[in-house]
Amino acid sequence: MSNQLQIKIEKEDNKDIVSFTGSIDEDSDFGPMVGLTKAEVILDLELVNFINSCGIREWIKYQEQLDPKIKLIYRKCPQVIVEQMNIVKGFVKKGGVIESFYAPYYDESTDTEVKKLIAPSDVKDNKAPVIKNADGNEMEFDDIEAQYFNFLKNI
Amino acid sequence: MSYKVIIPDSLDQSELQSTFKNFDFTYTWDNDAHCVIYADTIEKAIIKWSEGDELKHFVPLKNKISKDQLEFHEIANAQEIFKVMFKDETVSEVINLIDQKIKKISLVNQFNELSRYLQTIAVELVQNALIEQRKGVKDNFVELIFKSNDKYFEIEVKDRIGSLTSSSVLSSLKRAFVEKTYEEKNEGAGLGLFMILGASDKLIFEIDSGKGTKVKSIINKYKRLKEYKRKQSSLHIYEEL
Repeated sequence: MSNQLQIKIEKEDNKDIVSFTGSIDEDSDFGPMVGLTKAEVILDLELVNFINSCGIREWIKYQEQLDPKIKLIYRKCPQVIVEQMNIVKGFVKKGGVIESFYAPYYDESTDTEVKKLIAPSDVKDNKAPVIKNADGNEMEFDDIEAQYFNFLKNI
Repeated sequence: MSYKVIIPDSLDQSELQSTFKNFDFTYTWDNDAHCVIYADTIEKAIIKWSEGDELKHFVPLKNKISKDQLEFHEIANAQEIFKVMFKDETVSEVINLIDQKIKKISLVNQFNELSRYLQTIAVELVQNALIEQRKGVKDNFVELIFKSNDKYFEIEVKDRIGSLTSSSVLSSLKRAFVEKTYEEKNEGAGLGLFMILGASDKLIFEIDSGKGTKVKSIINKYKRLKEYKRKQSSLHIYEEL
């Protein structure tokens, strides 16, 4: 099955919600998003599962073409997107807002990995929020905090 | 082989002998050094590289540097998991084909996201090789071989052009580390090598100028994402002119 990027747009009164599914690469067609005019555009990135180097370029270029007055809100950013936000300048448009993103945790009692949806305000002093499993046991943040939350310094 | 090595400022002479035990080296500050042992990050080490330097090896400072660390570039008793030839596939076709192959690999004792990092390395290596390949003979192809043993994965990509140079590799990496964004050019975004190095434990270029280039990425089979993120990458470039 193709992993080509799918884009779905829901138009609401004062904002557009754009949901992405699949892989962002140079073959991705951002055409459906051209001409967005609402003051606020929510980019729901939860189902993006891959991005390559040329996909990063296309993503930045696409955002640069948007009306500068549009406020971009990044929702449910998966780890693959957070990593690019951390290392690539311009991946988050200037003035953009991160609404929520996934953070990796490890549950030692069950030896499982868990991705938790958190908000920037949950991260205090660059420390991952305490998250417990169903039994009330604290899970371990499964990345390097200084690296993973670095992007929050720039927003 | 004897290497001329640049070592970190933090390492004093008394530590030198024990740290570099069993390692044939000449300690130098000159710009004809072959190797830099970095104490901080590979990014900072590569940013210091300048055109004309002889540096071709970037190795993290660990408790003990051995010849193995410099010269171990093949995983022992490797089993080939898959091999694919590419010629004129589109980007989406390359990504989908590699995705399907990697999904079939058993990652029972490794963290979930490892498959995505393996896919990134394979896709970027193949795309880079295809860009080089298109500059050469039309009927040539690019070969991707994926291997593993009990401890490592190895992703190897070969072209039959040999147009890369150590200088082009290092200048591309340096630009990406300094600018941290894409590069305006006809093909590629100038971020592929940067992503490959960041995802690899060890990245090795074997360039036979005008004949072919073999690039190998070696990745430990980490159980936890956190262990993987703590890795310090090595870069080695061998160039036959």
